[in-house]
Amino acid sequence: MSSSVSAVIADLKAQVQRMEGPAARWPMPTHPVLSSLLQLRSGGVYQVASPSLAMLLMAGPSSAGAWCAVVGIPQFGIEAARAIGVRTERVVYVPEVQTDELFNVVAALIEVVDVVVLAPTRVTPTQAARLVARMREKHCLLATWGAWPSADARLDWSHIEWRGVGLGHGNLQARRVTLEVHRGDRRTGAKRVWFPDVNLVVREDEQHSGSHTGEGAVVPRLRSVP
Amino acid sequence: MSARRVAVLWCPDWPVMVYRDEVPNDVPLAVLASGEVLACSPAAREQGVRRGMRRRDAQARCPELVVKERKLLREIELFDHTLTTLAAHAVDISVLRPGLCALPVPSRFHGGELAAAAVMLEAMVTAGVWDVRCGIADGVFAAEQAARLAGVQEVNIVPLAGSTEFLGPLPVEIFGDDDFTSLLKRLGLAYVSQFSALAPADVHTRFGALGLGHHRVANGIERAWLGQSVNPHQISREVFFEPALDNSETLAFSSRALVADFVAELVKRDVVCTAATIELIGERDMGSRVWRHPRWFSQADLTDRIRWQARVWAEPVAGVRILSETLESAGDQADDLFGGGAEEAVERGVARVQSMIGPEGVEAQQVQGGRSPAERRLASVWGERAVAERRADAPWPASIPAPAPATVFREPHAAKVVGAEGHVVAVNDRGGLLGGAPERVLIDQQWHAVAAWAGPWPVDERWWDEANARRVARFQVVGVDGSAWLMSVDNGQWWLEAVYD
Repeated sequence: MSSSVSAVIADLKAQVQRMEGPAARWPMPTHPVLSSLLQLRSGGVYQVASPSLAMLLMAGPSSAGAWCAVVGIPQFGIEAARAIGVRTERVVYVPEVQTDELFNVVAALIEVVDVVVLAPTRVTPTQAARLVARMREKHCLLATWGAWPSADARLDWSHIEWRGVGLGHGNLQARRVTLEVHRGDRRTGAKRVWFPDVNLVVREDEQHSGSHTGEGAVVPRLRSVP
Repeated sequence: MSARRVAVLWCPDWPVMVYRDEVPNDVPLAVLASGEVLACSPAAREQGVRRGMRRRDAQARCPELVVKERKLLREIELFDHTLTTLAAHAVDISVLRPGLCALPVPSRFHGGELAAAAVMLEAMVTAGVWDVRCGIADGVFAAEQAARLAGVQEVNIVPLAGSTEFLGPLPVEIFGDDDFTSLLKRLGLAYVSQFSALAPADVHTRFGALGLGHHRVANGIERAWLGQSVNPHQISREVFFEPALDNSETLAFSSRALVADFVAELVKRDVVCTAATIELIGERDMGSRVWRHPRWFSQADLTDRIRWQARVWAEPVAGVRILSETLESAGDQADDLFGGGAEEAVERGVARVQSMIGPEGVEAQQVQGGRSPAERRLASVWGERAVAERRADAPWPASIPAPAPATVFREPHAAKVVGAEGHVVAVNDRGGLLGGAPERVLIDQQWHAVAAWAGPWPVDERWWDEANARRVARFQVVGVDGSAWLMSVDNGQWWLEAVYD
């Protein structure tokens, strides 16, 4: 009995979400390198595997004038963020937050900024659901660097390959990575990109565009550049 | 119409004055605040007691020293009482702080400024203050400095348009802003004249609006009197509580009328306040702090600042005073007034977060000059204007070339780099490697095999400062999985400074 009632409630909730969901979720500006893999939407939760990927998520909305907040990441490298296209003068930094204050701080920031980047210490599923509900209302987007109860998509990279550095000479100049988007357990897209190229631009790697889909297609290697 | 001139009356050692009936003149007396000598009587000074000394040191110099705690409320009352005699001769007296007041010099006083000053000094002496000094100049700041250089019951007059020349040979400490002064001195600017000679545009670029304010004052550009009963530089509002309040929320609530009154005065004058001093007055001590706002203070902003300040203030609060530090014409801010809707919401939201976790918990960050990525980060408390220590656009030889790392630790993490033989890699004086090429690195308790590395970039930081000189060499190290690290070695100890992740 009770299980069927809860099933009905879940079904109704899902229906309500289907009716309300799309309208409440606006597309948000997305960095060109990412846009073919993933269209950012307000109210979305995106889990990232590294701070650079969080910056890549921020870059689209931020360059369009959005306000961002970076919470719980004292080591956030502002120069790297700026190079990717984040307007760092419109970023609010909350470097250290106690676990018991995290929820309230994020809730307050959601009210006023468009993108929250967060390294969560501990958020319960209930708190997460409340934050996401509020984010949808306020058309805010969340990028989490670390575990989050339920994420719309997960952004990762692999096959990292550096240019410009050898054994004792040169310096780091350019990096090629395979950008991957996962939804649930499934990889829904991947792409070889310069992150960044020698001109410090993050862009698609034309040599591999379209053809690279599977693992092992690119052997990571390091070439010394004299 | 003749220019308006300002007189400042200074009564030195005012905290000592409140004890004049309790302690005879010839007994050495020191008044303490927070365990340090705040002021002392001439008798104590003769025995070697100085401002800033600890109680024990002062008593060691002068065993018969009488030590008293500061009574700020008494100081304020006594000074107000003293000024009643003066008020019979002059109008528009504004108290800058107990023992220091400013008033306009009557433009056509019979006998000129010297005679006017004599009347003021005599009024103070009649009121029972023997040690009083007077300075007259075009602006309040110059007049205060002139008063400080005057002898007992004497007047020091800075000629019309002579403020710059007068202030020039004085040390930069007269600005009374420790951070700013120390910055000037590190730049080799020890005297006001060296600072005032800089171009205003450069000063603004280098020191921001705050520095420009000091620069204007140093060049004798101070706002003219508005002819009102308050100093035009400072709108000042205060409120006293009986009994004293010891809860920051109650205090914030009780200060609302004060704040509303303060903001109403701003509106009346068509100005906005971008920096304000909030003084919390306790039974014995006074806590003063300057708050800055990236745009300007609203009522809610000021109430927040009072609450934040009260939270870290130990004593019950008997009074609150708000003084405007920087006023800007509302017209100059008109763009923001019309275009700044989103920003205002952000400021309010951030203020809420600051109320939760403390104002220092929220930062704004900028890029400044420097060699290491950590040096290049300039973090400042949200709402306060940051002063860059190093220019970002100047060349920084031996800085690490782009791309910049995404993770930049505030404090480097200890690490280890070893060669093929397992010896820790070291750098000799000429930048050569000892212990072989890097083979493995230890980061966060985990060993990684090295695929490539670059460096060393020897960096002699602060080579002009022998005591602080460090011999640091930086390396970029790439692991076999594509992880990349920025590391440094300092006297054989390896550090992880940043990660390209």
